Amino acid sequence: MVTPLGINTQSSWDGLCAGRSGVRTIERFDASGFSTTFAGQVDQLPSLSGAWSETAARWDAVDQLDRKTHLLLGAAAEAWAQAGGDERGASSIGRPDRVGLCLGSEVGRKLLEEVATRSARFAGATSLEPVIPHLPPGEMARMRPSHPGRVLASVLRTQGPVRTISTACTSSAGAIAEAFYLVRRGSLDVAVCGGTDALVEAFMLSGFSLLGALSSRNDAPHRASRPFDRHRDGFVLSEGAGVLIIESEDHAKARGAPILGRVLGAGLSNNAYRITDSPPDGTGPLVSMRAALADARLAPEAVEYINAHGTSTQMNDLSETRGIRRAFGAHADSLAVSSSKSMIGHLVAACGAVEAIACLSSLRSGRLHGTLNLEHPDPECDLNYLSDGSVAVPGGIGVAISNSFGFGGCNASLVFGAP
Amino acid sequence: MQRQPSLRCTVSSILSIGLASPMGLGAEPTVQCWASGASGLRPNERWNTEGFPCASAGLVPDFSPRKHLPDRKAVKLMSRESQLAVFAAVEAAGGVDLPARLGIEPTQVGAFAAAGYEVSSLGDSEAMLAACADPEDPTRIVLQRLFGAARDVYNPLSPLKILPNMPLFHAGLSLGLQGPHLCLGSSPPAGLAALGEASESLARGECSLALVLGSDAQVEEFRAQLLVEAGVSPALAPSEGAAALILGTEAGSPNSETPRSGPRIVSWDAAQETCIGYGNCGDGGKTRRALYSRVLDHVGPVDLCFADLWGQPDHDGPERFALGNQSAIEGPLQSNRARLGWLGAAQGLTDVAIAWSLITSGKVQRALVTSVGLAGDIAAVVLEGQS
Repeated sequence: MVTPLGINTQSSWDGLCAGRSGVRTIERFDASGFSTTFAGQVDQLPSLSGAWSETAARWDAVDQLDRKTHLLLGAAAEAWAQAGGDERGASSIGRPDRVGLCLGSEVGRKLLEEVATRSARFAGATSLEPVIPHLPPGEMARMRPSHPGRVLASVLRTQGPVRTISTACTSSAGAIAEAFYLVRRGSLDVAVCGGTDALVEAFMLSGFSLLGALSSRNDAPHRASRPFDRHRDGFVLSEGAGVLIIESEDHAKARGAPILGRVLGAGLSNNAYRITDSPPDGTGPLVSMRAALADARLAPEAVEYINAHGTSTQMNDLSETRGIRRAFGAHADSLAVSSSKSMIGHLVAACGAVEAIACLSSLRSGRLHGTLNLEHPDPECDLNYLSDGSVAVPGGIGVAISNSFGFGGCNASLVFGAP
Repeated sequence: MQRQPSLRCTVSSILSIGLASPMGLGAEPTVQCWASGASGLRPNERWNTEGFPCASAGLVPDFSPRKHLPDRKAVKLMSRESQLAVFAAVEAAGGVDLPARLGIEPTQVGAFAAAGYEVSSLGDSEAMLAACADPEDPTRIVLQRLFGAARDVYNPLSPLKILPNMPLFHAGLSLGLQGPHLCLGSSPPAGLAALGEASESLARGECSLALVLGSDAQVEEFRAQLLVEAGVSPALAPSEGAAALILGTEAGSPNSETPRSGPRIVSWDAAQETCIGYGNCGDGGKTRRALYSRVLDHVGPVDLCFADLWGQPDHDGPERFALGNQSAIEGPLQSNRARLGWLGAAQGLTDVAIAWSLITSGKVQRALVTSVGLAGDIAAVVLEGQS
């Protein structure tokens, strides 16, 4: 994975366990005067080599390699190598028509900024019409949500279906669910899944600010994301990518692939409530968590850890807390809960994948990262949240859930098991 | 040795449909227009098409959101694509609040969609952009003004209209759906993928009914420009529409208030042709041919084939190769692109909905629908009448 804490899984995981923050004041563009002037930022794009670099260059030559696609390629190259894949692409791990892609991605936002800038050059124009002939080549293509997926498919030369899931903040969790379904029912042997997003741009920052969704703790950016804390004031925009290789157990064993964890179940639900709000009683999260447990054929008591969506907004953290309490009953007090977003911010379409990898890292290592900045627990958020740093769980943990909830009322819960 | 089918699919029933297409507002007008052989395309008056390679477009006729949608207040928060999606969804469901009317739990009705991303929905932002122009240098935009002088002319919810899951949100809210929920991308084949995933979700028992939705509004300069970049315009005219299906299990509906059963989806699959940039892959349609063979492998003769022919030789060659000499296909290949235009994410499901009508009326027994995206993604489904 690629996050503001590092350009690979180990460095990101080490940062999460150390309680480091990847959030800082924005220097990439002038955010002065905005109500929020900071974000989670990936300092250096991951370097690519071999076939990854060559294919990236071919897309770049036609002006179709953007930041979020580059982030995705970095995360995918790491996951592909770890799964034993090589430069031959899909054929190195299986039949190309049995290898597919499921990726969470949203509409490319750079265009909006481009439109704004170029619109201004046509002073007095009341429509966007004059702008179009002056858009840079490839901009239309880069804007498509499916673009990162088709670039990745061209690197790996997969012939199985390529699915793009666009459900806002649940995009990549939905993509993992979809990959899981495709592999479980035998439609694919291998699914490359995850998501990518790169939101640290002036248009996005101003837009989310005006929605009142972002923290405005400009004097202390590293303390801004504080899920479940009484003084939380919004989420922190961020960027990054996460990729997992999901494979049927038989196929993985037959080719001697390392098994890092198991997907046990997935649950999706819809709030049918409001565009940006969750039902305060936690019904949406409740339904997705119950569905995921039913899909995994597990009782609530089997779950030991929840990597919460935990955005640091008043509404989300309260709704998620209530949803967890209703889904797990008395067992809710025995669960360990933490939020990766307290350190890396909100990766939006990529958050579900990155946080799923954090769950898998917990299951492999028996260590749980905490929730940074949880200094004054909100009395209404009354679960067993792990605070700063990390804890080792004697005997390890067997089952964990990763939650993602998004604008438009979509909810996704994924159940993971130890390898 | 007995031959084994290469594809295992669960079977589901399409109980009802809703359509908003350039051929008509509603399923019946659309199918009547289709049967008459008329085209839904007309001169494009949305913008000055001088210099643009295609002067026609597919526009849904006589659509008035405030008149045709159940919640007038919500209209201003919807892109045109979302408005069309809600219209089609409500028509398919026979009204709003579907679970309540049927007496089933809202969590028992899922929603699966393919949807575009309507850039012109950002048109609301034009006032914002104008307000952000630097008074001293109007060629420079100053977003900081959003936090001061421009604040009053900007609705921060407006940019959310462009999100591909918004049509699903608005349709789900109108129908009151809280079950499994997935938006599977913005390309034409994504609608057929959504149909397959809804079938699987029904088979897993996660829901007992599902809304399957495809919607798009491509008659806007930004996305029409993509058709030019991809080299498929003027062969394909930009178009708009929405198709909605209410899907039940193979046994049909759990409730007597809806049609108990309908034509069944019996086979589907998807694949990917790899290409750099736009256009067709270099394999001449071999991947596609293998896909169509898999889908047709275990079904009976197909007497209707809606192929995804674009009227462009580079594209149509591989499609004809992939469908040629498939022994299951009886009769000529037909295509709706020349009369409906490029419907984007609504394309595959619109073809399915028309085929559904033809099967329901007894004109056709079994239909194959194929769908091909600009980026090498392909999908196919077979639906057939209840025997």
